[in-house]
Amino acid sequence: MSPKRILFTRPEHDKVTFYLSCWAHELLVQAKNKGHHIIDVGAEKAIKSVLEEYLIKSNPRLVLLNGHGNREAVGGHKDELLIIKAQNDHLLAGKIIYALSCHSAAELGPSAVASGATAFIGYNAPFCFLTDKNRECTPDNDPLANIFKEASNQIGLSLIKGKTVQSAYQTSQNKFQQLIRKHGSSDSTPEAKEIRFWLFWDMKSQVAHGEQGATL
Amino acid sequence: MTLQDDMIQLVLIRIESMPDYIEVNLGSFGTLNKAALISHIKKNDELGKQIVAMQMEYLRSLKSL
Repeated sequence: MSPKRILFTRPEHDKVTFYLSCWAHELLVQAKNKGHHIIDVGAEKAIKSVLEEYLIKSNPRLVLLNGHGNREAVGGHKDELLIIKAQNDHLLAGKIIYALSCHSAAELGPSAVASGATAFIGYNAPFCFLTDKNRECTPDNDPLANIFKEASNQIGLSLIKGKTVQSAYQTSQNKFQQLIRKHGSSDSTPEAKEIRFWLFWDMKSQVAHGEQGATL
Repeated sequence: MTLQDDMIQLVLIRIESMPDYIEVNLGSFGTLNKAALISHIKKNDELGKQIVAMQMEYLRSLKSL
């Protein structure tokens, strides 16, 4: 596979975005190792004007959006709206998008695909994850959060490896199911019941719009 | 008691057993501890209704998971 451009947004102004930014780092390293060209729109750079410029000038094939969201938009640094339904989602034309962001697959995703995006994978409800309140300063060492990272990151890892949108979606769905079963044994931990339910929530909320056979 | 009341009670019992060190990060709803989750469910607000509905869907799907 020839090298492709991959853009990440990684705001990290609060607890949730800090965790998601750390999760995205694993994908960033994997993409670099595969020889892809990385555009890392991180921290305070994750603002609308910067993102729009990169989308137009660099034209990345894969866009991995991390941040707060709603049904019509995905946010960046300090929740500034970066991509907004029917306002600038045409800038996603020809791109595959994974939005790790609440609700954004509900309206923004279909709108982006209607405006020319190749595919949009995201969540049509809040994306939720568990954390251990004693591990907040070190997201990578939070075993609760890492369970959710493992399932979510299957999308990016699969796409970076050249898998299709459908395969990436199915791989993530399978990982959610596998993790639910893993934490379902009778000897599992006190938090197992919560892990199972919130994994189920994300699994049911995850959707893939657009060309299912598209690849990086 | 209505069926809805029964479902709410069932979900509340499940959440009562959640360990205190766990926090649920729910996007724009923020980071919620056990007390906050229980409050949303008891108030039967948008998030509370969503949690109850998803818990019931989860319980119904347990056989197929």
